[in-house]
Amino acid sequence: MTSFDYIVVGAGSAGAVVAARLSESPDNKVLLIEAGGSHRHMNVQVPAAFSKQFKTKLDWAYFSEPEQYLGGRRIFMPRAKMLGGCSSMNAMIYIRGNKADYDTWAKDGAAGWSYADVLPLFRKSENNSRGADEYHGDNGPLYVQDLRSPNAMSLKLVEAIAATGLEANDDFNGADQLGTGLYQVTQRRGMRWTTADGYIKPARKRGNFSVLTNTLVLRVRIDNGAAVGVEAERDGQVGFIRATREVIVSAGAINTPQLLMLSGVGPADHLAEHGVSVIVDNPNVGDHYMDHPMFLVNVEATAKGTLHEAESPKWLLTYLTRRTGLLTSNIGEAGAFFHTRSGDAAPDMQYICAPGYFYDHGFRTYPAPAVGIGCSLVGAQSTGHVRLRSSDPKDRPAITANYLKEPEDMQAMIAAVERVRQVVASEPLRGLVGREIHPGGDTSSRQALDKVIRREVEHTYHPACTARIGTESSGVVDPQLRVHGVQRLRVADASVFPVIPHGNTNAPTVMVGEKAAAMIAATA
Amino acid sequence: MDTQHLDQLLAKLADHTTMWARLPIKDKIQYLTEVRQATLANAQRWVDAETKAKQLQAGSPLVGAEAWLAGPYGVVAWLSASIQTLTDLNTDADLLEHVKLRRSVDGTLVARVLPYDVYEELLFHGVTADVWMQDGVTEQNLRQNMAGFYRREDPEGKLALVLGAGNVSAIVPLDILDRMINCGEVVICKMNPVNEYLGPIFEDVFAQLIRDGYLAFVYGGADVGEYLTRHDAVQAIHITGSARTHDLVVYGPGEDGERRKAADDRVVGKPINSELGGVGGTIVLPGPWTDADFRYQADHAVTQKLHNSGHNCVASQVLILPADWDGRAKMLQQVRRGLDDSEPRPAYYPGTEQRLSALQQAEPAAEVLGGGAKRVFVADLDPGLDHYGFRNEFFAPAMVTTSLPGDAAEFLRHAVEFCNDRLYGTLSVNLIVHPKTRRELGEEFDRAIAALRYGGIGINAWSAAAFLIPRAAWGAYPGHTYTDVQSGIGVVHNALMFDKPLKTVVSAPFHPFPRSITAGENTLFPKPPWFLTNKTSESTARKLTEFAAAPSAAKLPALFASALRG
Repeated sequence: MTSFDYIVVGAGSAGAVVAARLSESPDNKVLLIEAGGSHRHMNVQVPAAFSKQFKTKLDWAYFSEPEQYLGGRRIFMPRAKMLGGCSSMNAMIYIRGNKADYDTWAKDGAAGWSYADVLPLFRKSENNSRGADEYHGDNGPLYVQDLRSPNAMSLKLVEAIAATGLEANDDFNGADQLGTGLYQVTQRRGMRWTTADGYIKPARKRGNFSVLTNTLVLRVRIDNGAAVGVEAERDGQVGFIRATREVIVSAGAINTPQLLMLSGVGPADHLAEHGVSVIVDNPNVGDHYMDHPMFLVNVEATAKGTLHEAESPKWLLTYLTRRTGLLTSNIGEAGAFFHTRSGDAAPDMQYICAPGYFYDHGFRTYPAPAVGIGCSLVGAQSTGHVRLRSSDPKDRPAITANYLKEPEDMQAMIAAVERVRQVVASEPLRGLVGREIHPGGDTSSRQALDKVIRREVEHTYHPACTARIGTESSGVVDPQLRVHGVQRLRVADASVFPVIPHGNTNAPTVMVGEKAAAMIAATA
Repeated sequence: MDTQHLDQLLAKLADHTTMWARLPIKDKIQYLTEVRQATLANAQRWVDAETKAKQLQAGSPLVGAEAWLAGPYGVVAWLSASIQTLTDLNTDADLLEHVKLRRSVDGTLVARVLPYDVYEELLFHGVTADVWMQDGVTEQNLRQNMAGFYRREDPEGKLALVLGAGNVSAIVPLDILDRMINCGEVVICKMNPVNEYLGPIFEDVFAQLIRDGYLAFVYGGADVGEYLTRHDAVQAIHITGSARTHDLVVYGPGEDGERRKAADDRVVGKPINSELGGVGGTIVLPGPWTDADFRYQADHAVTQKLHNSGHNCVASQVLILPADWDGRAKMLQQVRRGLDDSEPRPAYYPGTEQRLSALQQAEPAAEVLGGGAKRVFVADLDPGLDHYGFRNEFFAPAMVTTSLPGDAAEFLRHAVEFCNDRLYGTLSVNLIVHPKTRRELGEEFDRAIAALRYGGIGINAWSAAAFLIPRAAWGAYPGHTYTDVQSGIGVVHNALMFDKPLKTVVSAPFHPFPRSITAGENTLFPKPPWFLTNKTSESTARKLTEFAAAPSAAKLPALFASALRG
């Protein structure tokens, strides 16, 4: 029988990190299992093409259950199914969240997760092209760079947002998150940089590190209260792989709770309903689902050089020969963090600005140049849950996000859209923008905005918190990320966030991977 | 009958009517995409179940002609067309971008819905389908007379009952989809005992819609049907079946029902759409036919009768021949041969034997053909008399013929009049016409087509094609009423969502490929896969189904190879 010291399930933004770091010690025999395959694909490498991965074989392509507060819409939820996970699919925006996020986690019981605790891990993972300082690292596996060819329209959008009363901010991950500026991105020389590139590739040179791709983990086997390995399927063959020390589940905030439930860890009545034997009754598994709802305002642009032209042969050639130009755009080039209301420790709203039309996950096109300004509600309060649809590991899980359940969430969203209208009307954009495409000029009243937002809102692809750090009665894992009630089983991915951070979630997820590896190493 | 269960189901569905009606188009597209995926995944199971239920022999061409084409293929083709329409609606694209409009000889607006794209042009070369519009629809206002449901602001939605009878297995899914997508309604579908074996398969095909509370299937007999039709939660009804069933639903049974019908005093006041069959005619025009033509066209006429062993609402029952044509006797002889030679099969549909006996009693001259498989044939009925076969749908393997006088033009005028006035119902009629005859008739022929009061008209094609062509409208000719319902009220399918269709006309080459080339028609359409004598129909129909789900040029060679060997 095959056996490893550590088995990591899921080669994504956290799993790749955990597995690669554990393999740095030659004593550890590490196996990383990934359901998908390689990330070597043009639509992964070319930054501007990320949304072309959606609904392909690179994507789990989930849909939510009918969302009660969105008129029964089932929301599309792309989740990367390949090496690097969503670091191979995301819009590459490098944002850590707000200092207050981590300090709140720690204050509420997640010992060891304060900003002061996690900053060294962010720095450890980072290789920032601007060099090292008290906030940034320049020696880690994760390349973080300024956009090579920022779009002139993105710079104008930053100016316009500033004109509505926000300070310019050239480092959202530095001293203060508030303000407007260009995002730094996980790219290297104009190409996407993933955790597969930064962590898995170098680890593969080590003799103690193995990767199994195209392999679906069906369940974690738990004997006498301890994880002993995983049952996995590859090419139709099911086998058991033993883990002598630990199993680390890093399957993401949707697949991680699904796998825990399939393994007998979850709400007892729900598991019983699907014929799964209960090992640990914990109603928190799959619960507290959080994400950032996003509504995209799109406005026609009269300026030349927007992403409307990105697919022309000229820009393909420029990309192929020089790794510059429109195709190096991560679409969401510029943005801002600000408050729509008082009382939040961190800005509750983020703008993600695209120098081109972006709507319906990129599935819709528009025949003219445009700019898209996404209002990402990073201070969202609404929570949902992930449940099983059946005990078949190949059946997709039942996801309920409950987007915009809380009235405060809708108020913040409306305020953000109203502010976008001020941005568009401001002096720096004069003569550069035209008619509003979405939501459209006829939606001026709050009531009309409420209706159109519920009808059109999507999200920022940030599912989290479904196996959160907490006590046995409030969470799924302890601050060491150990699953309550099961020995030798940890979770390391965005599921463990006690509350979703105020910003894009890839960087915090990489940090969780770093911290998990460090904690495991410390206890081994 | 578990009325509590039915009440609970209805209450849950009623809770979802507004949500479904207002659900963004994008979400409806996603549901249809999932239904299409599930249809493909369950297609073989579906075909196998039907093959067993209809007692077809494994490997028989009928498996392709009946089970595949009128089953999964019909559903998948409709889903793909509907997804295209919804996508166009969602992106404010022009629904008529691929549709050519013209005016018919009588000034009616006509939309060509097939070929719709280059693939249909290739696959159905030489075949066309036109939807004729009702009076008042013009080139200018046609767009305002399409997709009416999707032009409504904040629709409330409805709960519709689909009474799924019928013997063509695509009917139930297509009726459900018509109500859900074209009408924006939530559906409860009661399977008829005759086809309830398909229920579990349909529940898998529609699993997501059922799970999300927009659709439910129920089973049972007439008592369940009556309970549902009269239930307050049900706001609209769609019936497939017979006029008798229709009247039973609308007016109730027995003498009281008859009294109520006479007074149009309905027991069920909600709107009822229906597709109820009728007596189908096939008009054979005289022409310079070769022996091969006689054989092929007789096979076609027999196919139009014996498909589904004659248990089709669209079956052709009355063959109308030119009395003065020298080919008349040969055609009769070839039709007898076709009825005699067709693959034997049991009369599996309930009541078939009684219906055949009723015909035999009414027509003492009836012949019995088909050896062990009983096929009743009555030749040369007097067109001036009100024969049983002109007024009653056989729904059984039985066929009658009659003859009308005159040269081609005169015969055609008589035949149109005869079909319009003497045959029961307005669902479908067919014409078989040699290209030379059609040329010679010129505008006279076009006037005849315009004059035919039928919902489906086939020219050298079985009008059943209008059932399978997703963008065609399918149903009776408009104008029937509850008290005299005949072939029914309303249309289904209609994936382009025309609000006011009048009829659908399908036309195909007279000669199949390759004779079409030597005969000068220059079309590539081979013997259609619905022919009972098509040797490769099963493989062709399966490949067509896969193609309809995801058209690609790469799939064409194998599809053509199969089709041309038929």
